[in-house]
Amino acid sequence: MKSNAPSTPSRRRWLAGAATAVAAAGVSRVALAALPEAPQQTSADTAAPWTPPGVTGAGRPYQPVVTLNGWTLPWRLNNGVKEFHLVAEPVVREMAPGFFVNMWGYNGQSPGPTIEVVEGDRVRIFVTNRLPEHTTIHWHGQRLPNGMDGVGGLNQPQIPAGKTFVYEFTAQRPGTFMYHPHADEMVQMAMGMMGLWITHPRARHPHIANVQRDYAFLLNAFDIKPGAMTPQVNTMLDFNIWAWNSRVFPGISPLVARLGDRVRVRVGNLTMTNHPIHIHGIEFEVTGTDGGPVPATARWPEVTTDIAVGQMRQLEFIADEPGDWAMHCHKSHHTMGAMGHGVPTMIGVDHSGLVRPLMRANPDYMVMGERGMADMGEMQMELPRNTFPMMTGTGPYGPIEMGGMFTTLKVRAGLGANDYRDPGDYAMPPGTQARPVEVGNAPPTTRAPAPATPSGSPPTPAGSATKPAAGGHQH
Amino acid sequence: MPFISGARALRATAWAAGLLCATAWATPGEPPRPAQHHHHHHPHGAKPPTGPAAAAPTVSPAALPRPGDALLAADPATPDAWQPSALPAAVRAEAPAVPADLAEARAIWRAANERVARFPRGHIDLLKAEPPEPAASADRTAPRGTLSAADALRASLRTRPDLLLRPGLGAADRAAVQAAWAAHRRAVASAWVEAVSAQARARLADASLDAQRTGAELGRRMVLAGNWSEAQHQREQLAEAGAWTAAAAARRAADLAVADLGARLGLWEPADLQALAAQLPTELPALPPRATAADDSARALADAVAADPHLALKRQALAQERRGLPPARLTAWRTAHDAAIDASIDAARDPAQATPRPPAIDDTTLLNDRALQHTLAAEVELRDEALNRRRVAREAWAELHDAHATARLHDEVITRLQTRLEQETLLRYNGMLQSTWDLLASARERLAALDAAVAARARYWRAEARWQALLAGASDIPSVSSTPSLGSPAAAGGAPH
Repeated sequence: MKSNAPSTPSRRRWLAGAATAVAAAGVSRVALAALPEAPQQTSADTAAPWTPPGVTGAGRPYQPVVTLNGWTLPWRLNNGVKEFHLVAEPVVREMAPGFFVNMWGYNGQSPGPTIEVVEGDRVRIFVTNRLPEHTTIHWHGQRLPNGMDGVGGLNQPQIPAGKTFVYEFTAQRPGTFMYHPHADEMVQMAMGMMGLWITHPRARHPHIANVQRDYAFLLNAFDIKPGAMTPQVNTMLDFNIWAWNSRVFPGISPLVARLGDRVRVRVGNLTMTNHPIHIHGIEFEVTGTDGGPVPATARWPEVTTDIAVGQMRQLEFIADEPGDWAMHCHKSHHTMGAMGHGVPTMIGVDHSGLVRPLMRANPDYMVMGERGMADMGEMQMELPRNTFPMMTGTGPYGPIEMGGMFTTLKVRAGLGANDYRDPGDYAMPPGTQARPVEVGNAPPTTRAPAPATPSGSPPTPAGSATKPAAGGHQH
Repeated sequence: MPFISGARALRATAWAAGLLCATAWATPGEPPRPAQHHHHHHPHGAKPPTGPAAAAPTVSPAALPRPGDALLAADPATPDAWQPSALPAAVRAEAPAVPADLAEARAIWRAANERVARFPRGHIDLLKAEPPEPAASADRTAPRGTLSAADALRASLRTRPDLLLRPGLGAADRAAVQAAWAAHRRAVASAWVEAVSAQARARLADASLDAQRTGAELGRRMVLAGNWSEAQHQREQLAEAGAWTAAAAARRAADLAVADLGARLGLWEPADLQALAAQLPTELPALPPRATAADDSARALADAVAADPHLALKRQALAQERRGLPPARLTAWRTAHDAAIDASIDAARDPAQATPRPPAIDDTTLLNDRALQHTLAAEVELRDEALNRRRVAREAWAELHDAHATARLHDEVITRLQTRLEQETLLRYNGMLQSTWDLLASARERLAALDAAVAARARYWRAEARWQALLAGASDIPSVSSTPSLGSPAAAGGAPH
């Protein structure tokens, strides 16, 4: 699988931005530019976690989050206020290697950069609109003055195209939040406009544990017709690209953990349906929601948790089982790429004698689907341009036959504390992997013939799925 | 039959001088003449061909089909072994059996899974198990010949000893031979175009039926496996029936077209017609880059007028009569005629006059002047004929250019787009975004586009033959027509899935 090492150039640029912020802290407000820098991200790789060097604002040092296939927005300190600059603009997101999608996003990517602050921080966010229509930003889940809530028309005038508005409030409570437009909302979210907001606790919090790895991502979905590049904005239910942070397997970075690490995964759902998120190999607890941290007494162990529309769930576990563990949405069609809903089931359909006639009609035709659809994962056949295949990805033992909302949790002993690089494929200890057994041909299934009148048979059902054989109505 | 010319040579040279000019005649612009008359004559503006056509290789005269014996053809005792060509295999309306009970359902489902599991690598294993495609059969549907339109014309002229210039013919008879010969050339060329295109279209219709039949058979197996309802299969069967009727009609049209061409070559016996069908090329000559060699329509239209031998004779005759008539007589007549017209119109405005009447002349010196009256009648006749000739020439010129542009659109745009669309459908099939039946429907759409392209090209070559006939002196020429294509509603079928 593709390595997703942290993006070095981006990191260098951020460090430079942070240095600017350090310098700015010591000069007068007048000397500052009216607008903070609005850094651009050009890579869809997962950026390394970012801690502002030397300055933590109103808070204490914290364990920064790692945004899957995303990045954290640098800020500058202006008279004790953390200033950010988001630019709403058209972007092209590489959702998987070679799969490009025209979107609207922030600062070069969709989703926008993660905003990371500390409880009690005064925050000022400049929002420049470079879209062809107006927009706003709603700070989903935050305690803030009504006029800062971002619902266009209700709380504020829309931000016209070409204009910049500023939002300012105090990050009152720790937790995981989202941001997204509340202007032409369905369209702008269908086009990829969203981002994450993390507020770290100012002090030790009774319900918030210290973790060694803190991951965050958003669930988002798109309807992109095979061969096209731009999502259909009027789709309500029939999405075909199921993404984590606007990336799809095998383009989603793995979650890497050192054996024994406490790991937090913050998942926000901005699709139009629920997603049962399932992690193999460990048990986790939901330690927080959009509403805040969950007391330990109210938690229970899970291997799958359902995340409803507009919700955030914060999962925590101890990575105590080494290996490459699958992590995915458990709606199986959400771990697939685009598929034709009108294509009938071909399983069990005998094609004998028809291959050549079919090839007479189209010489490049190949039989598929009659033994299931796994051929699709195996046969690398040409697809329409810019089309994400229904199933794809290859592991050390063959095709993985997945897509969409799927990645891996990679637990390894001996990693560095801040080493987020893909450790490669897990080497199975001998004798710990499923293996073939040599018993010759598979034995025939033995099945006792059904008795004519089954003893102990269930009571006759009241209704039948088929209509009566004959006789018509009897009145 | 061993032919020395190839379809490629024909395609390369067809446009340089039209379909018919790849002949051995020294001057294809005029009727053949007995060997002892070698003086060249280019009547009425008809032009000999230029370019490589004149030197193009052709079928040797000995290899051309010879006309059947007239006595034998007319003898009622001659047995007629003719049979229409076979219809496509019948379409079946039967529905596959559905399982009667749970045990049978289980047995069928398990067997279906086991059957497909016998081919563990799917396509590759299935292909290995299938017999290879038979070599192209030698039946009517796969002709491989090279008999060109010019060859057909040469063979056909053996049946027309009347189309010969000979000593002692007067000018009018020469003109009649010229016009009849030009009309014959056009008729043979059109029949050849029709026969070649009808056979090509019959093959396309067969291919379309083949694709639809495959879809229906696969649909039947879908019902057997339980993956489709009977209703879904029935739609495929209906589409197959539609494709069958189109294929049967196309075969019949090809039979008729070959028979028509055969008749012009004097052929009627089944074996001869069958041989003729096999001698025809598989496709029409490619479209030339331009509709005509010259773009100068004024000159071309003038040539078409000049080429009419009857018109030229009548024009000469009238000019001579006019020269013999004192100009004063003509002036007197026109004055009297104008006055009569004015009086008639004025009288018609008079409310007292009950019935409008035509103009009337009572000057008997004018009315009884036979030379004057003859000139006037000849003038009317010549004007009518000249105007008609110009109208026909303009229509033929316009039709030629329209047919060329349309055929080019089919070749360069519609067929290419349809082919690309089928390729795109294949990619979507690869991605399991569309079904096998979508792919088959797309293949049939491409075949329909090819069929329409053949029809359009045939229309061009018929228009070209018409135009060449005009330039060679043919008289009244009906316009070309086109036949419905596979894409017409009657021939369409196969709803997408």
